[in-house]
Amino acid sequence: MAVKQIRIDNYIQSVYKLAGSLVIKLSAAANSINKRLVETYGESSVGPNPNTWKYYLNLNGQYHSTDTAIIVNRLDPPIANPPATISFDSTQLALNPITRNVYKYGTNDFYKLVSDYPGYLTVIKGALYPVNITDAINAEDGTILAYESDFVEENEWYLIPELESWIKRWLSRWNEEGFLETDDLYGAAMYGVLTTYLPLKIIELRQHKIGTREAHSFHRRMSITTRQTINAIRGDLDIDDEQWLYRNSRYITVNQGTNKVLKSLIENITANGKVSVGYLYRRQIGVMQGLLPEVIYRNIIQNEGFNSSNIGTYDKEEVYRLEELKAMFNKDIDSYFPNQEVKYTKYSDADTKVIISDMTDKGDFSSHPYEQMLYEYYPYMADSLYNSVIFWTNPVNNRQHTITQKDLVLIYIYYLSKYYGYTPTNMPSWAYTHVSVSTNASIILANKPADVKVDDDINFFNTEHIVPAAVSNVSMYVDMIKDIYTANKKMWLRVTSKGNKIIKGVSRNMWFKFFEYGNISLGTGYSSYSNFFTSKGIDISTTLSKKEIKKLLAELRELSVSTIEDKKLRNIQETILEIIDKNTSYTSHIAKNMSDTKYVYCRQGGIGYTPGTITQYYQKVHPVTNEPPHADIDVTGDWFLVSFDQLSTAQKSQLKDVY
Amino acid sequence: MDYVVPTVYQASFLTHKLFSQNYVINNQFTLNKRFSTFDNIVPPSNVDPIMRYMAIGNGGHTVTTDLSGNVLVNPIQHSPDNISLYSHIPWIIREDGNDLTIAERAIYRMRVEVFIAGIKHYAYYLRLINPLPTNIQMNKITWSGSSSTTIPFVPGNNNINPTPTTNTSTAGDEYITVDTTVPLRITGTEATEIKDAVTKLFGNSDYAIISELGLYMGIDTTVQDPVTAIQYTEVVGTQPTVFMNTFMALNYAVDPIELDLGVGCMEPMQL
Repeated sequence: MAVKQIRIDNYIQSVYKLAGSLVIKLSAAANSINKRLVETYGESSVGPNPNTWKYYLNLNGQYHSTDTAIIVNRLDPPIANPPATISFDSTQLALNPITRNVYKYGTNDFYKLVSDYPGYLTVIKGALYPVNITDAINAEDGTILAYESDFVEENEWYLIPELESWIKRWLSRWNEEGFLETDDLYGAAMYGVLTTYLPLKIIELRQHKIGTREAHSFHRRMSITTRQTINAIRGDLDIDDEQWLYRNSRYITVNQGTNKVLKSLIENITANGKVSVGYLYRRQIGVMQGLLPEVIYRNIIQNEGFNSSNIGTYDKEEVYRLEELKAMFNKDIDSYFPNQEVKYTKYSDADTKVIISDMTDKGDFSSHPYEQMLYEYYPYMADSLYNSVIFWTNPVNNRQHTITQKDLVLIYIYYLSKYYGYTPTNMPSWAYTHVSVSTNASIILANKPADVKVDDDINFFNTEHIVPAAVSNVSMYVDMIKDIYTANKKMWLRVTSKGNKIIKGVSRNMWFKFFEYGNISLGTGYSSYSNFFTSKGIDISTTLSKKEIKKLLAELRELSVSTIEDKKLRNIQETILEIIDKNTSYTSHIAKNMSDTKYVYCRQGGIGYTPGTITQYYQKVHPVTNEPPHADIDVTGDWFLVSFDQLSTAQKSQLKDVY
Repeated sequence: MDYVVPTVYQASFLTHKLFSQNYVINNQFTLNKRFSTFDNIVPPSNVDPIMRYMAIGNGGHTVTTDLSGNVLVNPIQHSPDNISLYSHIPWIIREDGNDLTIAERAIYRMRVEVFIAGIKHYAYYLRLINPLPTNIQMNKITWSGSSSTTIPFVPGNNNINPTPTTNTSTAGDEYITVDTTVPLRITGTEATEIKDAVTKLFGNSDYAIISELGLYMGIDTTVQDPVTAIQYTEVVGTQPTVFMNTFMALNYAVDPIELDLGVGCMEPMQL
């Protein structure tokens, strides 16, 4: 299928989902439900007060006395074993946001719930998007009471009001009660026809807004993608940048290559402060030391230069490296170009035609970055906690195998070794670090160093820390790691915010006590790799090429830890520079560099004091309580930031468990 | 809430020193600027500042009364980017004409001209920490409940060639500390001088409450009094390294005040 076709399909899918998630007020539905209830359960099941009617209760996400409550597993922490269950209603879902998220409209779990409980669609939607009962009773027929806001974009403020007004107009034209006299299914048929029109109407309303600031991102990005021949669909650009390009694309294309376009691009699409862009200048230095000056290159940043790396000057080798893709022969004619030229010129500065963007991503400076955790927990979880059945096609003979996550780890390690030219025979073991384990906080509290006030911290760690629970699919695994990552970051920030030397040291150690380091043997039950492959019936007889192995590894990762990336600074930089590159003169070169820096916090220095004789002075001013208010004033330590990239390999390995 | 707040200036200085870089101080963002004292002198970038100056202030606390009428003193925290204390109080004030001699001035810094009831005085806002520590030690502490054993730590062969552990384990109870002790002493005479200074400035010696302490780093340099042309030592490029909250009401203090600062850091041993 063509890529464009996939994009259109995605867009249409999202329109269908929006249409499906709409909750539209219909008093006829309330009446017809009441009629049915009276027939089945008698008059007592419908009271005179609409507040107690099934229709309105269900809209609010509550069950009517004649309903049986839907029970689902609670997916919010703390996760018990066996998992606790909750009733699927608005009150419980408001308390359990993670569970609510799993079941929100359009997810597989939502459709499964709807098919498992036929006739409960209203209450399921009501539990997810509860409507105030009074509002629902007072609303006119055709009012849109609720919808899944994920499917409406932030600039589409017009969409729901216009759709609602269209529904009301439709109803006032077609809702002719007179027809019911001769055709008692007229009502049902009319509402059925109305629903089939909804997606078309949404598409139509959105098409009206093409070319305006209210345009849907699909139209906006498709327009940018075609005009700029870049991949805007990925959504790396900010909405501001996208809107600007959407509006100015035609002008930019017509005036490609002019300085004016280059300047306005730098000003407008990098101005949100994410990407630094500069011009590279050649400069003569050291005229006094020698006969001829040396040449350095200087990055003169043209915008605010947020996230720019600390390096402002480059030597020629560095510039060749940065420019390699654009001017790969520059270094071959090194003797002439460009240093000689600058050495003999009478001007100390000369501009180049290089536009440079040298940046450092300082985003994820936690003690254990998210990506690292995603991979570090995986073999540990796959050993016992991550149980899912995977259908995997062996590329050797195209046979489908049903394997477990643990098998997948073994296959992955096997082919990873193969990729590096080594055929493993023995079953591997895996060293895991910093895995959150179930810990008894009261034992830690009892054995902590006395007189050091870290009780609050231990309790904080105890509430925050999340023990990995059993998961059964990739999205559950990714969600769980995200939670563990967030919790770990919170705990780490708590430790690093301490100014007191002893308290910081001890609380850091107490934090470590909630984690475990160790080794697991993954191949229990198999004597060797060949034994494993034979017993699983996996054919490994054909040797795969490196390229094939790489593809296989990527596929295995997709099945186990998922590789959906968040918006990365690297991608944003790439897209923006691509746009600048496409629209500037072909003789200008764009050089870019991006370091995804890991940050280490070195603790260094630190100050503190022992209370000494403070108490007695304090007693004199404070005779009532006889208690110094802050007797724990003590000692301090502190930390500071150095870039991980600045360290040598040896230093990095020393600091491995610090970062 | 933390009663001890290390500053970002200290962090910046230490990072510069790790990579043997010159630490350049912007003279516009120093305590000298706050007191307009030789703030136009650009501190030499090839000389390292030393943390040897102490500032005191009475702005680090607030007082609340609980329901039973008990008075409670609550500390007000500093932010790591602060340069000055909330409310500095001088160590000593002398009237113009009766100023400290050069020898007496040796332990004071940040000489500032103040006018009290129209009469010119000189206030000294920093005092030297004396003596500076010379022995910086490494110790290994093993904690077991309430008791701890401290032995000097000397790296050995097993630190040069560490063996990785392969057993399943969690964190232990060993720590290594790097520290040195800096004694801070306020003698009875000094306390009296502070009280006198505060009485002159605020009209009442009850204001002589030390509730915030700032340790400052800076570079000593010889300056000339613009009026008397006397040369004396003054600190320039003065930046804070750490702020501390405390509560000492000097009116009620009879004995000398003794504080021991432990400077250094403490690392838990990983596994």
